[in-house]
Amino acid sequence: MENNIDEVQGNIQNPADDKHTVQTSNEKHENIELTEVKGINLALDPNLITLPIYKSSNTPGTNPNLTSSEIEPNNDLSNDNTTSNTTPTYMGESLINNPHEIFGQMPLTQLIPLILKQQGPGFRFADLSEESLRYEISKENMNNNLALHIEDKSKNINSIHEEINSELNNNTKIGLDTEITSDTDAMDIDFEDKNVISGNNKLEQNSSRFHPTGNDEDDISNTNVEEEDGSLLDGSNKDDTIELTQERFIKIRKEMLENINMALNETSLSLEFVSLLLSATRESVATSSMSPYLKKTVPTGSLNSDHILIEGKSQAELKHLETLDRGWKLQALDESSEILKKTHSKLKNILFKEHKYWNNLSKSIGNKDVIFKLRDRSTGERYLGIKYGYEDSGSTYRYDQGTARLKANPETNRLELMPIDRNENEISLDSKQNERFIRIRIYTKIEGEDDYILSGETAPGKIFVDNAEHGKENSRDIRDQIERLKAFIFEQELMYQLKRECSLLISYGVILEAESKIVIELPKEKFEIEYLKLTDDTVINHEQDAPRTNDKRALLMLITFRMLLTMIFKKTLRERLTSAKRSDKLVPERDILLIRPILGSMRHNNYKVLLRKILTDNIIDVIEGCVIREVAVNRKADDECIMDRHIMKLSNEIKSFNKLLNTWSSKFVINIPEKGTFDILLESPNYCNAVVSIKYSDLLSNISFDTKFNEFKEIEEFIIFIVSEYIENSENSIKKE
Amino acid sequence: MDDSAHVIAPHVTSAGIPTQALDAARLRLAQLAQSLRRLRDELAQPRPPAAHTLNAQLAVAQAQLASAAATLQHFRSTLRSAVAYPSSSFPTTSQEALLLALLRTKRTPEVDAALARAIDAGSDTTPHDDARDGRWAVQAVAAARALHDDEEEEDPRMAVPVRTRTTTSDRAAAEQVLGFCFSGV
Repeated sequence: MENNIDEVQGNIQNPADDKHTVQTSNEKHENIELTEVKGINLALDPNLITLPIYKSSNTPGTNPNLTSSEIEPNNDLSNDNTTSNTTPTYMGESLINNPHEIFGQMPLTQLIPLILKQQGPGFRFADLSEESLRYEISKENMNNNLALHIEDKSKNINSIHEEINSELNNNTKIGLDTEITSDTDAMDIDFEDKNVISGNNKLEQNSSRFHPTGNDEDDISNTNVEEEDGSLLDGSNKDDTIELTQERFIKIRKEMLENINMALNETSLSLEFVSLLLSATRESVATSSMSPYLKKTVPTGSLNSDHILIEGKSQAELKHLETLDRGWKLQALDESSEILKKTHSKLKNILFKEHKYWNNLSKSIGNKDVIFKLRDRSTGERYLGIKYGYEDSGSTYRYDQGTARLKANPETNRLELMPIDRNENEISLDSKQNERFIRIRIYTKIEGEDDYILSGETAPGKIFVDNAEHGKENSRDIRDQIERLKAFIFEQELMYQLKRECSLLISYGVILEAESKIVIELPKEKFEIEYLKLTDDTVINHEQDAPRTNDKRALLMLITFRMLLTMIFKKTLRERLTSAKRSDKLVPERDILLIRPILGSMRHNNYKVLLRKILTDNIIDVIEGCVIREVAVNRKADDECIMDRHIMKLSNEIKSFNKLLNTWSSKFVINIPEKGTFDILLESPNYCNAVVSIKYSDLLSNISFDTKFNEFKEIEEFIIFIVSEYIENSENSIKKE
Repeated sequence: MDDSAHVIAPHVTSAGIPTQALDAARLRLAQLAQSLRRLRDELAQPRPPAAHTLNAQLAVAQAQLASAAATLQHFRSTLRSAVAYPSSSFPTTSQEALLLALLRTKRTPEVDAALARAIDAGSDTTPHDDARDGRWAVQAVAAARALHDDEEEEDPRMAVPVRTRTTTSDRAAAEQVLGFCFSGV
């Protein structure tokens, strides 16, 4: 008999080994650990565990509806073994209570409810058919898949599989049936589980030889995980690094639902039983917890019970219970330690990530940056935002808030900036949309023709070029990104303000030609200010162009525009500091001085040339001995009483731009010997126009004329008149005298 | 019925029904069923609830389960000695499957598997000595923690750079600030 047992054990052990080897040999090591770790909820609710052996009885090779003839001999064999080995009580009770035996001999009509009972006893009767069918189908599918895989892997496995399953089924059946005779129970289950363990051991040895390389293995490991462990946590246990995909999530949820349903069914069945039994004595209370179906089908009080004397537990039973206790405790400890370990490594990784995130943050973000907390409206996710716009520096531009979301890229573990759309408070889909810059082109008129030739243009500044796209080292540095975003928002605002100012200057040849193009026309030149995308065709492939004569001028003009915008900022800041009134809106006529200072200076120079020509033609060339000199115009210094040094600093900075910001004026003085003096003042009150005041005084400083002119034609006529009437006439009259 | 069993109530009466134990068990089971049902309903929603909600719900279910188990344990002698059987009013012929389901004592395969694993895990060990095991556990945990602490110190990834980025670029001394506030100079 002893030999017999060994034989049977060996018989089962080997195929079991093979089976596990085949099923799992290609798995990663984690999976093996998993099989040992499985069943975290075991101590809490054994119903949440499913054992592979039982499910595998559904594989095509084997048939759950084993005929009794198949079952019987095997049962006999194992019965012989077990009875010979341990308690004799086994024979008496095991077969009587064996539902599997009944089940094997039953006609089909009675078999069906039993199958359902076996799968998930305690189905809620109301929705018995639907639910059970669904679960059956899903379970069968999984098992079929697994079986198919196994078939693919090796053909002769199937026969072994059948053997194992029939053997194991029998063993487990015996185990299940001998609840009362706990010793045989223990023995059987031990016997069976050792196979699994030894399989696992062997598996560990084998697994070092195998390396997962393909999809097949993944599939197998997945199905295996399912098969071996139906617990809630198998998904997360399997591999922490695997992302929780939607598919996987659905699968895990399905498993959870299955397990919960099973628990619920068991509980409901127990509740029904207890209620029905209780209904004999406390009808009203008991019926309240009975299901409608039970109430309808079975009269209350139709169950009864009696007391019987029970014997105390035998020594063997106590020992068995103790083993069980210890086993549970050990399992729980193992699982806890495993959970702790996993949690530790997980936390460590999280900590590492967080550490890196904050480290990066502290490296790149200084105390001059504005950082604030944000919360995503749709997801409620919290994140940090950074303000890169110039609002604090005096910018009044509100069409782009200039805020970005600081986000750690999970792949590269680097910080990334994502600009936030003002209206949506979401990340704009086209992040490149705002990546535009201003380009200035100068066209010079060809002599004698009505056509222009491009004589100078600015290239996009280095800051606009995304270093990351050129694969430079450290290109993703957050500082670079901030600088870039700052540059873009600055250009955006500059264009916006230029356009606003442009509307005032139509009469001076400044035209808004397209949405993003301003043209300034002068008699001999044309300036184009364009707001272009970095990817614009006219930008790309022009890096190698030969330098043009006016390139530098164009660049200087662009730089001046930028500096003037900062002057606007500074003025706003000063205003905020000095006046209680906060107006965040710039008035174009008063506040926006970008084109006007530059255009004004050019126009003023033209006026000066024209005026000088008129004066030369009509005075210097006519009257001998005349001298023309240009006199500096004295301006009144602003008498500011500045209390705060910050305001003082601002004012000083603004003052340094006064030459550009103040309206232009030039003064000419012409002395006519022995006659008098011309004082000619050329002013441009609104930067672009010309107002000329001419003063003529004689030697005794008697002012004869003091007139203002807007038209150069009038000036010319007026000068001719004065010269002829006063200077030449007086000469003539002197001569006459 | 076994000969050794002492039948208290030979006639069909309800005297043999352990009413108190059953009522207590009924209450706990009803609670458990309720919380399980809620858990299931929450989980079955197309958009599942947040993890912590689910966890809380699961914890409730577990507490109910523990409570039910404790109740059963409390009445174990009563319940163990009670044997239920259908009385004559039970429609045995028409509802045989139902009767079988209600009176089932066989454990589900899942439970048996769990038991099997537990017994397997416990069979290789020696009987417990809680005091000794406790001491061992404390030592083991302490050792693990020591190891863990060492490890943490050595981990270069966690090195915190020393940064003193607290100075502003334009430092305003307290006196200056106060002076400005009070005298405007």
